[in-house]
Amino acid sequence: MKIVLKYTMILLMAISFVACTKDELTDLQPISSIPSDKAFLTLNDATNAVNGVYGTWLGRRPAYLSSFISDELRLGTVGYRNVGNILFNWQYVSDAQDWRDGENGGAWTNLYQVIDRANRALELMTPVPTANNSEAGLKVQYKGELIALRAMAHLELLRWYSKTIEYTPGELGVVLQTTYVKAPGSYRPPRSTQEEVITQVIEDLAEARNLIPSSFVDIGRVTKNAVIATQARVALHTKNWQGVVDRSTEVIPLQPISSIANYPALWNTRSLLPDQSTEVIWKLNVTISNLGAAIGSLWQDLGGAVQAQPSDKLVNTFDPANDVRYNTFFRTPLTTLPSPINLIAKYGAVIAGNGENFQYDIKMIRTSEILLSRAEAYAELDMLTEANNDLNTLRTNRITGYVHVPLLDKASLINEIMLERFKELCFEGHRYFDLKRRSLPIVRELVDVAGNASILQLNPTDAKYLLPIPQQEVAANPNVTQNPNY
Amino acid sequence: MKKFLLILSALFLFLTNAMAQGRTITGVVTDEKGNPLPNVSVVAKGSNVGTSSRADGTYTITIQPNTRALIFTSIDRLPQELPIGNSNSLNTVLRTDDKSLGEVVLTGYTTRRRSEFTGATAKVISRQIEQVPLASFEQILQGRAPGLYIASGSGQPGTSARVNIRGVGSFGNNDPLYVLDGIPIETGVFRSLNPNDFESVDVLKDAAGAGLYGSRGANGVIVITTKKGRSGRTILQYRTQIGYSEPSVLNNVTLQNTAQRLEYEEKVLGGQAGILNSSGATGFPGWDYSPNNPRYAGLSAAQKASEKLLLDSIKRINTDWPGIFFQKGKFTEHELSASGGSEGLNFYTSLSYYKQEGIVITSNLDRYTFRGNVDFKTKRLSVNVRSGAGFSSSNSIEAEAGVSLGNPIAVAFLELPYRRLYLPNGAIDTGSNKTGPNVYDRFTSAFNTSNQFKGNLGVTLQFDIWGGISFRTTNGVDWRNNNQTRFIKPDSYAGGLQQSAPGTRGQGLYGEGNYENLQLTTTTGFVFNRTYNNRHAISAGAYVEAIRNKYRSFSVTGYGINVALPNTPVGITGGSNTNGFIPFFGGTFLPGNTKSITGIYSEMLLAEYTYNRKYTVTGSIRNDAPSQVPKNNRKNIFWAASVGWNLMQENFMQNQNMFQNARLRASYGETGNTNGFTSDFGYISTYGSGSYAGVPAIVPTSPGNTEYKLESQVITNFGTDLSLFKNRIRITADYYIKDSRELFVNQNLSRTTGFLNLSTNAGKVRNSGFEFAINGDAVSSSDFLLTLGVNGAFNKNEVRSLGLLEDIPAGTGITRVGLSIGTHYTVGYLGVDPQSGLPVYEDKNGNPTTIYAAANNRASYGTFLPKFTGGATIDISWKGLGISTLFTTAQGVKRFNNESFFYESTNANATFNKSTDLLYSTWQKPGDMTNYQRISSPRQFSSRDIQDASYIRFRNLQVGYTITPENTRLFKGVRIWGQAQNLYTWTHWRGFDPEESNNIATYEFPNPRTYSIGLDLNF
Repeated sequence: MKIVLKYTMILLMAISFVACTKDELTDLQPISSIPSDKAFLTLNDATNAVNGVYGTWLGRRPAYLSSFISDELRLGTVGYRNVGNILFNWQYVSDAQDWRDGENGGAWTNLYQVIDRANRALELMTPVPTANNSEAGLKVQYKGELIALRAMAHLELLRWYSKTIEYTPGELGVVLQTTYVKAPGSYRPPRSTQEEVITQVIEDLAEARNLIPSSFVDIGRVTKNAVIATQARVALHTKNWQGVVDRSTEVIPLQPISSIANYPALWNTRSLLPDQSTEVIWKLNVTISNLGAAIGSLWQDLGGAVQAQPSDKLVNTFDPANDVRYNTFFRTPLTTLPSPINLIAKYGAVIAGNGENFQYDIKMIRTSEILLSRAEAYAELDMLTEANNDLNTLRTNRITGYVHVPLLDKASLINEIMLERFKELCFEGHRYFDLKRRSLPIVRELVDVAGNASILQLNPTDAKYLLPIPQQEVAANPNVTQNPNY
Repeated sequence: MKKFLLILSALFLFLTNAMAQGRTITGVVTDEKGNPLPNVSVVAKGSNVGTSSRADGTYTITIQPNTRALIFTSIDRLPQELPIGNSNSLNTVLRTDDKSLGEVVLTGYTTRRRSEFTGATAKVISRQIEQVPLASFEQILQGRAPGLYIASGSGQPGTSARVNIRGVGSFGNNDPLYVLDGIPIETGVFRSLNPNDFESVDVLKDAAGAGLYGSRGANGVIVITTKKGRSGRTILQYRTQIGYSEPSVLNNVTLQNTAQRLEYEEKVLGGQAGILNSSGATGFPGWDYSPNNPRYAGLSAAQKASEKLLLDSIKRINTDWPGIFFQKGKFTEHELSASGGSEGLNFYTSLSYYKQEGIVITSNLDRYTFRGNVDFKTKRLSVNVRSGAGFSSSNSIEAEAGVSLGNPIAVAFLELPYRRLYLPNGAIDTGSNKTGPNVYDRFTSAFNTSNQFKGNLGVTLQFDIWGGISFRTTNGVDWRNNNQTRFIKPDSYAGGLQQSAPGTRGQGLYGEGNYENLQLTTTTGFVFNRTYNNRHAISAGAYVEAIRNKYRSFSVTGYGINVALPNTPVGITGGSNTNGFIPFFGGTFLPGNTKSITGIYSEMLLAEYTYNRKYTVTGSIRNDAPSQVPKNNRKNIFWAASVGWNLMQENFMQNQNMFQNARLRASYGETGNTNGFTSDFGYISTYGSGSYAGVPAIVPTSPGNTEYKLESQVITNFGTDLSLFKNRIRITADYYIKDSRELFVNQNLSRTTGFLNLSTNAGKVRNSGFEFAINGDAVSSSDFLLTLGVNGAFNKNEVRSLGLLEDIPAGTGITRVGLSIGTHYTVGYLGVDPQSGLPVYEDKNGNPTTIYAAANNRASYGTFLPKFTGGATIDISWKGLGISTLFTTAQGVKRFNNESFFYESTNANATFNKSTDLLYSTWQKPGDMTNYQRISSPRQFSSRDIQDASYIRFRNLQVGYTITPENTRLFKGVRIWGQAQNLYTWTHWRGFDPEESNNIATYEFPNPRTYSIGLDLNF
């Protein structure tokens, strides 16, 4: 009996020991990640989450796409690794490597990640308490930045992936995403119409404009000026010419365009000050820690191999002697390397021994662009004088001794404005989209295509003029219809 | 009492006198390795006279003159009958009886007689494991057990292999559970264990065996039992072997030599059909300096002469790049062990040193191991202590198995033969694009060292309480620490490229990282063992089990190494915004940065009932709670039941003499796959740290799957064990169906969710197959034994469901319902159009097309999972001589050859070396019938690149001779032997090595061929 009692005791002790270890063993909290419901406790967490959205946006992607697909560059010759080969030869299909997640030619995945992270932060930071007025103000500003980023990402997606070449309200646009997805496994949204997306973008920008204070001037983030400039972009995309004029006129005086004297510094300063003293309205910062996101390494390798060089077509549009941009945008390497004559130098160039690492901030919006948009809008509105004035302003600030001869017919004036956009905004991710929104063909010169006549011209009627929705999206989400010809 | 003693001594005297009329024979009985065998029964044939061998193996027996032979018998040994000649000395060797060793099945929780075990198992015994020159023991098991598929992923010494038991039943981790003396150990980390310490390895394949492990048993269980001491004389043994490894041959491919390369440049890249620019220098000397080049006509006589001179000097260079990177690697092993014991206390202890050089220069492994096993037993208490510690240090090559020009194996294929290694001044000719010399330079300037310390300790304590009930607890720890360092000399070419930020001159790097894994296990409960009326044998166990696993890793790489302080973190220069030396968290070769914790809590009941040794019924039930699933999914009940019928105990089998063993088995049950979790906290939506241009940030890292649960498998097994013709033929056969369900599928998400994919429990896979092992003694006489063995497994793998999806394409592969896992997915290739020289592909419907489009991908090109795997053995023993051979095979394996994609590149600008086929067979002009498309036409991935990687390998040959010395004072036994590993491979595969663990060939480190000779001494 004694023995039975003894072992019963031991057994009971063992059971109670085990019962408490069960929860201890299995009820664990992650050590190396933050559960979402514990991620937003203070305003500092919200600060970090907003930073996370900026860190997500890869500004180099439109520069890559636009330069290889259009007439801005020719393929490299020294240590060429087939970079951009498929895009340049217009051979892409919907699952071409360039469109895949993480590849330079793709924006779909990256921009929806931006949108998701913005939506998530917007929702999760709502209950975060604020300690004082300054924190309360910041929280409002963050909300404005997040809503603006969401709108900007949607606009960018529309530029890339709309079903039509030009803005057509009733035709398919992209998926509109204003909340974060709680059950991702079963989420398969269809594309909204372009009008639906634009309506939301306009609404978001209007709200953001009210939330972001003018006193916030860090151009490494979305300021009120950036929101207004984006409104001008929306108007341009939708051919709301009066809207372009109105919004541009609002923002241009706030950050006037650079003069000839200041222009080189705009490009050879690796990181502009976080204020509104230059014509850069929005930029994405590049430091040593996110060097992989830099633009310059798209065309040249760190070791000096050249993947792409500027097209003769582009180089020849400049006046080498008087145009400040010629020596700012292009560089002739030292003779020690069997290098091509010109390198793309807008974001740094490796020239024997200079150890360039391309660590330059990515300019997302500049006043020059907005000014040229306004010129175009004026011309479209038949306000040719104003349009000539804007073109003159830009050229006077780029070309020494420039004397403007006003163009009196609308078509040639618009052609000149488009040419100026080609020059001023080259390698900044505009060319292809500028041609596209006006249904203009991509036209290259024979010398830039190594004699391959089949890639001289891509007309808007050609299958490859439109971009496909990446196959990875279509495969995972059958409700997204593919663009024509893919 | 005195009286009794008196009678006894009188009796003794009488007996002695009676025997004095005969002869006295003396001798030593040893095992095949020269170890003395005590307690061997020695009986004069045809009489009752007998004795047994003493602790040192010696015996003395007095026999009648009419006795013709002695019969030696012992447990675990084959009996032997020796004729008596004129000599009064008769030594003998008793061979291990594999059949009887196989009669115990160790499951980790239980020990069962094979004749009553109801599950499908295979056993590999120490004789088959010992001395094979492979540092990671699981590779030694290849071909030894049916249904156990081992595929080595690398010939780097110490690398672990892919191990699949009965096919692949998960899209994620398919590793079996490894249990060392009752304590689960970390998967894939075996290089610091000494396989010579293993007594046996039991492979548990079905619910009756693996089912005991509940949520951890789904991929099968490999139960390792280390050696223990036996009572008797202490055995001291020294064993050594030396040998070398050499590179395997390049199968079915020839690469161009300099003459061929120059001809290729001149005639294929240049020339009429060529595409090279004919106006200027192209960088290809074969064409640039060719008189057929149009520019030649425009040269002056002096230029022509000087170019001829250049070309001639290039022609004289013919660098054998594989020969430069490969070596004969030396191999040495020393081992000292002692075992023995007395009543109640036994011990086994061993020390070993193992050193193996890889076949690529600088790669190697050094290992030191220790083991100490102690068993202690009193009347009611038994304690078993199992302890092992191992340290190993290994150096690895750069960019192993990478499609990269930093990988020596890749460069061995792809560097041009006319590129020189050394400059005239003796320095290595390094520089941009000089891949061969750059790689060679790294052998002396870049070092990847991995030091591993592993310790295992297990203590089992059993206390008999009352009436067959015992308290039993097994507690153990499995710990390992990897310390990995990477150093690149600052003053080398490679060192000049290392910097955290380009733009500054590099000065080498030093990186160091640690990975630590700790697993604590306790299994505690009560066991019951009792036989009633000599007919009803019952054994049962009730346990609780708790397992805690913690792992963490941390790595940093620093730059700007001080030349005077090489290979130490002290040499690192602190980083600043301008010097480019900002340290980096993580780094190539280093283990990364992580920290996590998991746990499993289980309650279990096991029971077995055997009636009259005839019918056996077993069952197990467990409730497992793994930490990786949400709380509401932590109740996972797994049960298994099995039956066995021993026909030999039936009356109707008593009057036949064909069968010596006949059993039927069946089992059914479910197990889980805790290895399969894709994340420790996959059920929680999480944020992690991020950055915006160096400013701290947080970003979402996982959407979280609130439905997260365990993968599981239901296994049905039918089997039989037969012995026929006086035990000369032994057959084991099993048929199984293994249904895996709730498998994690990496479901692609709409990118609009902000995530790419989500692990969902949506997949179902069925593996079904047939396994057999047949061993037969072809010749069995008293001193000659020839045993043939063959084993094999057919497995059919079929994906049965992917939830809402029909298929999941991934790279060049696809997972599709109705097909096997690992199915290739690419565009069909038909050949080269003789008119255009362009490749012809197949469209979705199999019709010819010239358009290459991923939309035409098809899944008709097989899988990399073998349809049949097996092994065959031939063992011969004749007196002291023993020969054993092992052949292994994997059939029905298709792999994607990413290597040929490069050496068959049609890119005119590529400065790779090419196969000779491209010189002789490249399409040149309309009408050429060839399989090699025209230069410069895009070479795409297609079914052309999928090749048969099936093989038959002469895996191991061992020849040994045992000498039993007359004078045993110095040595009790000596054995000398030699062996060869991977002697020959029959394959259609193109490359160094068909055997590989994944679906795609990416210039892996090939498996070597190893020769060694060894010596075993017993004192």
